[in-house]
Amino acid sequence: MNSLELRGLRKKYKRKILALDGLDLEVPAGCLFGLLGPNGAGKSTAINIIAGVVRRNAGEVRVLGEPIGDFDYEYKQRTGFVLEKPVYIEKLTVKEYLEFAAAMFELEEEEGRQRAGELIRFFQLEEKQHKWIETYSSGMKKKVSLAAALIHQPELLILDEPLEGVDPVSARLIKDNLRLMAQQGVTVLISSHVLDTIEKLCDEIAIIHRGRRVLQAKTEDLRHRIKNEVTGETFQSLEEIFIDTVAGGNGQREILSWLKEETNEGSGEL
Amino acid sequence: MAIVNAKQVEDVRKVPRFRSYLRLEGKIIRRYLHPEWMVVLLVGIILVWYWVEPDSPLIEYMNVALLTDFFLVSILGMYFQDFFWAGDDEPFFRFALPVDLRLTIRAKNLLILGVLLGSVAVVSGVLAVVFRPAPVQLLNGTLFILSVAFPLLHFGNMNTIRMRRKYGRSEGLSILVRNGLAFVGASLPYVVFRVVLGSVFLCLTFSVLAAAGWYLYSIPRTARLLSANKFELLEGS
Repeated sequence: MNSLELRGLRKKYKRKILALDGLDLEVPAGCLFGLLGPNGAGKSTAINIIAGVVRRNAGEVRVLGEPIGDFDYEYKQRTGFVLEKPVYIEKLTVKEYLEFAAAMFELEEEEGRQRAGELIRFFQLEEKQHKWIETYSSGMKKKVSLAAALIHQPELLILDEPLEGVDPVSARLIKDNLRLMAQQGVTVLISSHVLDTIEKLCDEIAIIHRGRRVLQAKTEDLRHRIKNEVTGETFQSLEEIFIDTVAGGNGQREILSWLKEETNEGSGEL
Repeated sequence: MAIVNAKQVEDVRKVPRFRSYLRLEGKIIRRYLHPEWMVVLLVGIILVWYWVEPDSPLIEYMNVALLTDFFLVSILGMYFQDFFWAGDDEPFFRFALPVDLRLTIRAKNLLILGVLLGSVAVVSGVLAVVFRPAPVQLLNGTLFILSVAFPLLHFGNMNTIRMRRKYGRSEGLSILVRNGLAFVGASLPYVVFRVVLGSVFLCLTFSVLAAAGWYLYSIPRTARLLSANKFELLEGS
């Protein structure tokens, strides 16, 4: 069974910018799923459509087996989101925000308070817990968003660049917990540019490019592919697969003209 | 291990959420309400009070409360009718999370009503002490506030369903004037029922009906309209 399914998702912004061009995606239940794509591929647009904050032009979204309309919001009780744009009011403290989030997700007051406190400790936000969120660094703000996405133990977590700006210690803790959640049956979709993180963390990966899915495979299969490549095939890493998929393998090899000159004048090698 | 059935789970998760909404909205209003407005307000009222002779016939019904409220509603207008825009990201916060819009509107409306009543009490008190006008009748004051409050809340609710306004520019002045006119309009039932007809009963009945209309019609309608316009509002945020 799939926790998330997108069928023919299409989105055209004003000025005729086509962000999604019939995107299909299936995210199996209990899977740690990586969504990759170059800048402007449509990852954030797809996630914003699932979160109901961007209107789709066409296509179907199914979350936890149920079709989702533009104005539905009940499914959000079972889903946690970290979106590209922050989802909080900056003149609140993290404690106030998380306690309100807990109430929105219909947790009991005491339970909400307790979980908010635990999340603040987990994300190492105690020091600034009485300051307004607007005074936080971007990494800390990302942690606040993550904390709010986790507070109600969602069945499906959809995270847009969740580790961006987060320090390595917290990033490792977050990754460990995401793994644990997936083991317990939670489905996690992570959109990221950090190929290494996705490769190490995710069970399955999809690459989208120009609003369409161009590759979806189990990470294990990709590893196998990479392994074969070591023994004489084309690819050596997920990075190469990614570049080959979105740029035909040759789009990223250009060198700035003035660097070329420098190189030619010098040793002649890169 | 105890087995919890679906009904029990539902019971466990049922909590008095409205209290949480009130608490949150209270914090938001406190943090985005600028107390310096109150000083401007007080100065404005004092100037007008000097301008209007306290013993002129006009002042018989344009009493302290009316003048005070006129300025309060004009200045607090942004909290009445732009309550969805405390910060640029507020609509995004409301629509991305499973926020109950009806509870949000109810909480915001009640809180701004509380701010209005509190401000009326403080400013009227100051005026009464400083200028010693003709005694303000408590009954009339209460009837007046009750009769204008709910139509004004509805006016504000309907006006919040749009992009964020820009205050502090030329359009800010026109908004101020429009709010003042809305206030004069909302005062008409009091003038007709209490001042012209002299009826407490009619004035009170109107207030009760207005309150019922606010609760049963204005709140659900505002929530529906906000939801229906969410993509447009989000694009403007």
